[in-house]
Amino acid sequence: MKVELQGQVALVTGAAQGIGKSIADRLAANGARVIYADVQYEVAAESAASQSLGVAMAMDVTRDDQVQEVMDRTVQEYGRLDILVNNAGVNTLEHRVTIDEFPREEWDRLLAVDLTGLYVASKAAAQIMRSQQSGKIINIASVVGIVPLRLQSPFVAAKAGVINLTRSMAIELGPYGILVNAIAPGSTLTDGTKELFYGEGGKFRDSVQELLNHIPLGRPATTDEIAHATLFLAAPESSYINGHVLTVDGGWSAGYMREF
Amino acid sequence: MLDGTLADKVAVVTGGSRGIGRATSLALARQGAALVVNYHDQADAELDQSTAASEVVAAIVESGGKAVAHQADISDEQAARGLIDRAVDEFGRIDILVNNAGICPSQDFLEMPVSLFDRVHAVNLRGAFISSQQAARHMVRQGHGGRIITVSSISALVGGSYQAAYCPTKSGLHSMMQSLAILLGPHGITCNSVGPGEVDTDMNRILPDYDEIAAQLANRIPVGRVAQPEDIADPIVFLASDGARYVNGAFLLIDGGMFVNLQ
Repeated sequence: MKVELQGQVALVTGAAQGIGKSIADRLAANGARVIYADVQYEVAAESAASQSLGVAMAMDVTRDDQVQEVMDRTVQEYGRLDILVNNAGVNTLEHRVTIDEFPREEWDRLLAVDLTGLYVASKAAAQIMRSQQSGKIINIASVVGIVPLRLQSPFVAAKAGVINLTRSMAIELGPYGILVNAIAPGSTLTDGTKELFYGEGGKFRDSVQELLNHIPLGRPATTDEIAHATLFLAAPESSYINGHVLTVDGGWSAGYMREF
Repeated sequence: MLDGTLADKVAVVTGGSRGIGRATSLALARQGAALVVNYHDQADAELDQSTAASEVVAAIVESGGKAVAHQADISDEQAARGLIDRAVDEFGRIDILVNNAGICPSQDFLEMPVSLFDRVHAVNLRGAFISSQQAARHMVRQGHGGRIITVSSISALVGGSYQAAYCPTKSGLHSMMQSLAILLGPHGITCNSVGPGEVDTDMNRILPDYDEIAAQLANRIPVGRVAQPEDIADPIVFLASDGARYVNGAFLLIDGGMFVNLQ
């Protein structure tokens, strides 16, 4: 799918690798100037270098000052901000435990990035977009913000928060020409999920078939499949979609697979 | 979309002569798909638009595409199966089905005859069931997947005061797509629905003072306007495109933010 993003300026948080990198690459390949913002600046710089329209900026979404600096630089250097993709997110690899054992520090760390970081970036971007009277904000939520999973309580709580925040931002910002939507990816093949599930030494490799049994398409998403959905929400073709959460989960959340 | 993303695909659009179906037929054809444009002669004649389907086909053919019109009342089982088979007869296969045909007669619940309820269900829900089943049988046999995209509605999520027959068909349609998504997913056939909000089509234009109603509704829609059919057609093209291959069982709301604002 190819769309027209020529002349538009996009910023993707957490764009160094994984889903964020695929999204940034896809937007750039469709003509947008793309800022690869990431706390891992070196990796982001390497990723951005692969696209002629890519540029990397160092940004920790939990730091208001860094976020503001990146937004200011974006406007100074490229004149505007049309698309913000809130992709930066973390989940816990070590603490896969029930809530009665879940460490407070880990809860705080996840919420700070996954929910509060999204607020910080959206707030700064919305100020620019409001003065332009146009813009698109796309939040990368998760299917676990819709259906609960065990053993990752802060992540499911943060993603559910992102989903309803998406809706409230949509009604707040719609009148200023700013559309706000979310994507809820299902299980996606990334370095993180390889470490947990899909890789040879994956910590939960044994239970991976159990997970895939719940997915009608029988496989995890590729990062590029999430990127395509994001590209669609960034494109002119989706200009009447606002306040929506688009699941890209292979049918995971559509119901139960059963043999009777 | 800029790249003829549906080249070599064959699509059937039910109710493709007017409104969202018309815009969808044109949009799919622009991306290279060959089209079977379904229409119901009686419904088009009632609105004095008997040439609507042939105009859609002519527009597609004039711009170098392939299309045929096919008259069928999809509430009739044989007619609906025949419609889907037409794609295979004409173009050798079917890759995309858009279940779009629908009716929405407004009536007070207290006065509504059961016959009206039955008719709305027969067209909206039963017609989509038969069309989807016939299309899926071909797609499974063909062995290279497919796309079933159903035009549900914001009315799947919210009721309407004169729509006690219509709204349940729209939630029923999405529910059916979820079940088909699960069953057909292993065959590589994805099943999704779109949920248009208020759209400027004959279905709504039939109301007297529609312009006034639309202006009032626009106040409840964060983007400040009712939709045009093209606003719905483009997202349907996305769902039909290769890039959407992991989207399955989804409900894509296209309402300018109306639903979240109504709550």
